[in-house]
Amino acid sequence: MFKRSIILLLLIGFPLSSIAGGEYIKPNDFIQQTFADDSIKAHALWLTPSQQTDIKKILAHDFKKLRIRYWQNKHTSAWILNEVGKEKPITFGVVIKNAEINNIQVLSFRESRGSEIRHDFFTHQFKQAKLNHALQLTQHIDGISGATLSVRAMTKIARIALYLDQQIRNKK
Amino acid sequence: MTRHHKKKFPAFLWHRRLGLFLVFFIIILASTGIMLNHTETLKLSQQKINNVLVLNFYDIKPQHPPINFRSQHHNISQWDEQIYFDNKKLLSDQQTLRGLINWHNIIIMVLSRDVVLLSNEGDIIDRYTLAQNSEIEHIGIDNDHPIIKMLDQSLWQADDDILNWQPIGKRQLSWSAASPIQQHLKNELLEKYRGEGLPLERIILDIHSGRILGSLGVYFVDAVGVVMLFLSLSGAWMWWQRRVKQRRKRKRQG
Repeated sequence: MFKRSIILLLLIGFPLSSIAGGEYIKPNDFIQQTFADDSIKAHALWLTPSQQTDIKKILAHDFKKLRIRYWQNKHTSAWILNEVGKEKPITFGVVIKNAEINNIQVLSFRESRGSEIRHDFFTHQFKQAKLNHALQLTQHIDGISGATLSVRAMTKIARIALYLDQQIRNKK
Repeated sequence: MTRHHKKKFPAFLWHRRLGLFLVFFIIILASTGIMLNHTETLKLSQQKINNVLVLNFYDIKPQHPPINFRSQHHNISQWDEQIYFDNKKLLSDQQTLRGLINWHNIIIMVLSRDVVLLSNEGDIIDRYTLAQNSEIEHIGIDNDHPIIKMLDQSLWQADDDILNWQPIGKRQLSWSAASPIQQHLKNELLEKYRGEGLPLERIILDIHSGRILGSLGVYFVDAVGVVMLFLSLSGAWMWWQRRVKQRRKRKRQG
């Protein structure tokens, strides 16, 4: 009887742990972890109308900000970006190195479902992905059933981070 | 001595009494039911009811009083999770509006965790999370530098681009303070908060189900349904009784 109760509790508890959201890593910690430098400063990319249009195209909805913060050293740039999964914004941290995704992480997840996208088995698919001329990722990303909208949000953010990295490199 | 006649058809009496009692409810249920059957044709979901009494009845109103901060030429107000730039919706957020300052040609607004930079036309220039270990309490200006005070009493000063914030030592300065909201703006925001109003379909559905009177209303409509069942059975029983009686009478006469 006791064993059965334990198994039942585990079965009940497992799906709850898999859907729970929260703040996994603070933005400052993500930046410091990426650059291993406490004194790194944020820069701003002011968006031109054509860049805003491209971002809207990737997001497939309106985008209102006029500038975006980023952190950068020689070949690496880091971006902290938000995108709504189903109803609430998910905060992502993306590191681009030599125009490829080096790391993508979920910093905060506020939705009730779909937080499985934070796990390494999923985020590893984005490693070394680049952006093609159609502003699509060069790698196929397998979805997760039950987390379609979160997967879509992460894919869009990966494309936007690669696009923005292109823009700051072109500017130089 | 008065002679008491035994009532021969108590079911008939109950049938009549309950029938009269239910006339009003049957009319309501039948008419709302017919309307709901033709929701698309009647475009019930597209017709919005903005009547103040109805919206109040449905308790469509903010849960908390508005918070308002005034910049040089604009009001930025929060009502529950809705934040407005004058009477235009700016964003929805669970964070609390903590203050704003006019700085050069922009407005720096702070929520409990985020810094939001706005143009004087109300466009969002940038928004990012600043408070990661505590919450933002106030914003003010010292020597032309925006300063933020956290709930843990630490002070942070922005650089010229409002991109990086550095901790600074204690100092005295006046913080952005909330101001009372003007009545006309409050009325406009209340209208915005309530949105386009309630779809007529919802109201008719609630009348039909009794939910318009709360959970007791649902039980009342259930009771009306039970009485209608009784009326149909008592009606059929009375018709049968009368038919049997007429047959017997015909036999006797024949």
